[in-house]
Amino acid sequence: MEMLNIEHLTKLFPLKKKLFSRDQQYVHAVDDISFKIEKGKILGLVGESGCGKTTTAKLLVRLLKPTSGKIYIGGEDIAGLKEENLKKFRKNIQMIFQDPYESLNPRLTIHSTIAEPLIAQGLYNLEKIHDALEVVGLKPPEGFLYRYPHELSGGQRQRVAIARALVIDPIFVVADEPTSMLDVSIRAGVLNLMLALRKSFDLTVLFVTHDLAVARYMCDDIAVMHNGKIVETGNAEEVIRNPKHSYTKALLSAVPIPDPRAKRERIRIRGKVV
Amino acid sequence: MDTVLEIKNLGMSYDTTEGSVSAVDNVSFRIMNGEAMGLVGESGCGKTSLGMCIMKLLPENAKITNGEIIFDGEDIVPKTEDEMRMIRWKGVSMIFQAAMNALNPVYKVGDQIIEAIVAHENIKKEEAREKVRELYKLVGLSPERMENYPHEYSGGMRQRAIIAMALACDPKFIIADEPTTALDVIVQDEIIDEIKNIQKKLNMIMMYISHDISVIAETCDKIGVMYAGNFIEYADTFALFDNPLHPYTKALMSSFPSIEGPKKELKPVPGEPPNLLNPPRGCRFYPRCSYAEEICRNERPEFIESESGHFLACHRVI
Amino acid sequence: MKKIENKKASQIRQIWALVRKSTFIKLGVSIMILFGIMAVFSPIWIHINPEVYDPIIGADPNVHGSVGPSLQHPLGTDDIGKDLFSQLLRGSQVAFMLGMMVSVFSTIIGAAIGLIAGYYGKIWDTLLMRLADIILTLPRLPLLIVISGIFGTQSNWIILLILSLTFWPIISRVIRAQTLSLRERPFIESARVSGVGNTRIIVKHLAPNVLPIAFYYLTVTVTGAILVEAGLSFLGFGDPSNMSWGMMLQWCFVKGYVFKAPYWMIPPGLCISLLAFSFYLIGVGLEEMVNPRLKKR
Ligand SMILES: Nc1ncnc2c1ncn2[C@@H]1O[C@H](COP(=O)(O)OP(=O)(O)OP(=O)(O)O)[C@@H](O)[C@H]1O
Ligand SMILES: Nc1ncnc2c1ncn2[C@@H]1O[C@H](COP(=O)(O)OP(=O)(O)O)[C@@H](O)[C@H]1O
Ligand code: SF4
Ligand SMILES: [Mg+2]
Ligand SMILES: [Mg+2]
Repeated sequence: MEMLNIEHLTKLFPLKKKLFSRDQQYVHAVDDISFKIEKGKILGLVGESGCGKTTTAKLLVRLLKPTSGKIYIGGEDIAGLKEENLKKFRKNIQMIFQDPYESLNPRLTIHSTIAEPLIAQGLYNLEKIHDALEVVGLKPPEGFLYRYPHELSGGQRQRVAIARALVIDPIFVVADEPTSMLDVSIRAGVLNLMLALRKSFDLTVLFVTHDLAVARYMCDDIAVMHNGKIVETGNAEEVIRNPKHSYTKALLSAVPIPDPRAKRERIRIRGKVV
Repeated sequence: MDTVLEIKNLGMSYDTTEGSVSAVDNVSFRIMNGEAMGLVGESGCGKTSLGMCIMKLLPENAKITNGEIIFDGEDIVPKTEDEMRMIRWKGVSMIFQAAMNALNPVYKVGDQIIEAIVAHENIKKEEAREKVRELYKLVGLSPERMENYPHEYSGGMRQRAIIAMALACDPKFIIADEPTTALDVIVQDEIIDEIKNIQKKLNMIMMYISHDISVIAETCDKIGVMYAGNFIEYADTFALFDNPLHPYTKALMSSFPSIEGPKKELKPVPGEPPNLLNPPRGCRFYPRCSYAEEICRNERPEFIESESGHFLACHRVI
Repeated sequence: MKKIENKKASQIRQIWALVRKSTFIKLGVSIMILFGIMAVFSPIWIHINPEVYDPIIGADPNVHGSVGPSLQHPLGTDDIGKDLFSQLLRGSQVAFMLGMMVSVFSTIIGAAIGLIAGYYGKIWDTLLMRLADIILTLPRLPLLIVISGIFGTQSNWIILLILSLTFWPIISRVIRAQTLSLRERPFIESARVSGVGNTRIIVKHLAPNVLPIAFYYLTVTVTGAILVEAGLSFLGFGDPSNMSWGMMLQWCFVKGYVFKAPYWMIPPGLCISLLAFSFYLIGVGLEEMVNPRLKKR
């Protein structure tokens, strides 16, 4: 059974009009994409910067309104829902942002930050906040509740962001490059945490990343995005071992390998001189 | 082979209102002619600080507390600012962390590089312009792009321009501080490829700073691992990958994923790096080390050669 | 919930500790306290001998023409025997009240309008900012004359109203600009994903982040309000049923004592500058400690 079903999703951003120009130009940030995620699975959305990953993520949590297309979550289309009608659906779908230094309000304590989604759904309960902090490994919770974000390290902040996303028991989580701003040594901890949580909460996850090694480690399936379109999808291991599309091959050939003996062949998709 | 750069027992600290931060402590290593050395370590371990020591571009509140930096046979620690200016321009150059975002938005990129050359060298603007054209070709930028402003460059192009600027004076030694951290995989790959080629072509020595050990594996001949201001392991790249000796290096090696080989579970290094205001008395890795023994708590392990060319600071392994 | 209150209390203590560390704030507050004491002392001084010391109706029948400082009149008297010290004390009351009220009103209005315009954008933004532009271009003095004409009197209340109405656009522009950049920040987006409603986002997530600037502008506005009130009074548009520092200056000028009676001229001038300066100092001190991140790094 699929949890999430995207059909022909498109998002255009209007470009600034040139002086004296009649017709409006658009950036095709997301260009007619379709994919499905089954319940309990992690789908990795990979691609270089600017290819439309963040825009897709924001469409799915309806921070942006799609230009056209459908977003079925648990059978219900949320693509056209108005701001007022989104509240109920917010309980089911949450997002973890890229930069933990930016995604937490600097003036709210950890307690207030995690309380926000609960208060919005009328479910506030200190116990739940305690549990959420424990689940993400911030123990003892009392030690963190009344601290401010600037008193935490990057890894701890990202854990807080995860706790905030999970505290209302969502069924679907969008994670937009949740570890790209973290140091390598902290990254592993956060990745493992997300894998563990996926298991214990039976979460369905869209995991956005530009790091294929991370995608391979985290995801069941991978969708490769290029210029707003999805060019290849498939089982993660399969896509990495046997890439079909030339862009996927180029992307894979650019990943540095932590082994000085591995000689990789680079495939360039662009001309050399830029 | 000749030693071009030798660092002996270098120590540096920052004075802050909360006390003295010992950001570089007891660091020793040497780089031979034509070599590229990679410097890895987690954020805040002192990589940039070490680079700044070698450039002697330290902020007001920082001072080199002890040690020697022997570049081309001369200790540069006692050198005055005027003498340093010459060395910096002719000898050592640095690609600064996040410099690509520091280009002045209101001037053309080409002009900014020309300015830098004219300010240091006694040559005409036209000669400098010709030189920048050459540099642009060298770093893989089309010379017409000199007439563009920074916002008209992509991140990767800006980083190339910064590299061109750092190469403007034909330095013998170049320090590259996380030149690709802000870029995505494909652009990162192009840039490291470029840097590696240029380094070999111009026969420079290089210190490549990164927290991503796989990037270092591809670019460098030697690797230095830093932890909390200390050098804890220094070896040939192959030796270090085949046989990492220090517990921190081992932990680091198993904490990131790869697209090659079988899928293995990642083991994060537990705990957090120490506060450099008040680092542990003995081994600085002691609180997070799973091999720690009593002696580690109180005695600082010395940084010594455990095998030929393989340097290490750990009580247990030696 | 108890813990949260404790935390709040300790937060206040922390802020207090910071305040005590800032030399600017300490100096500013000290000067302010001095004027506070003067304001409180005003009725006590009048009480000694209301016939002579009342700043509006009192006068010393024994002096003829303006005289210099004496035991009975610490700052001397004006040309008709009114006690200048008493006027100065009353002046500090007026300056305080007016300055504070103007800045509080205009900051509240300005912050609310700036937040709404910045957060909702579109038509709200256009409408509110046009309004701000229009008000900014209106000259205060003619406005004052017109409104006084409508009410048929000049009173401090009208001055208060006009100053508040003409000061908020400056603040709202700053707050709007700040809100515009905050609105796109991921922590606001993540609040939206958490299901937080618009009103709560404005009140709980945006307002605290613009508050430091609002606070800073509040102190700047007080400075402005004190100076403008002095200026208006000096030009003869003050509240005739009251006394202020600007009016003291005006009378000194009108009666032609500027060079003859420094004891009349200097104290109100000095007071205006000092009180304005004290708020300025506090503003600078606040600016130093506005951001919890700035202070940590
Ligand atoms: N100007 C300064 N004043 C005081 N302390 C400083 C200063 N610059 C750096 N430090 C401290 O020195 C230590 C080393 O910093 P450094 O910038 O060298 O780290 P790094 O290894 O380059 O980290 P990153 O990977 O994040 O760039 C840190 O603890 C840092 O907080
Ligand atoms: N708010 C916006 N207005 C205009 N263009 C945008 C906006 N957001 C994103 N874009 C454009 O859409 C494309 C995809 O961006 P994004 O989804 O952020 O990429 P990614 O997350 O893959 O790096 C880019 O060309 C970007 O410039
Ligand atoms: S010296 Fe001791 S604590 Fe330090 S790394 Fe070696 S074993 Fe671990
Ligand atoms: Mg993105
Ligand atoms: Mg650095």
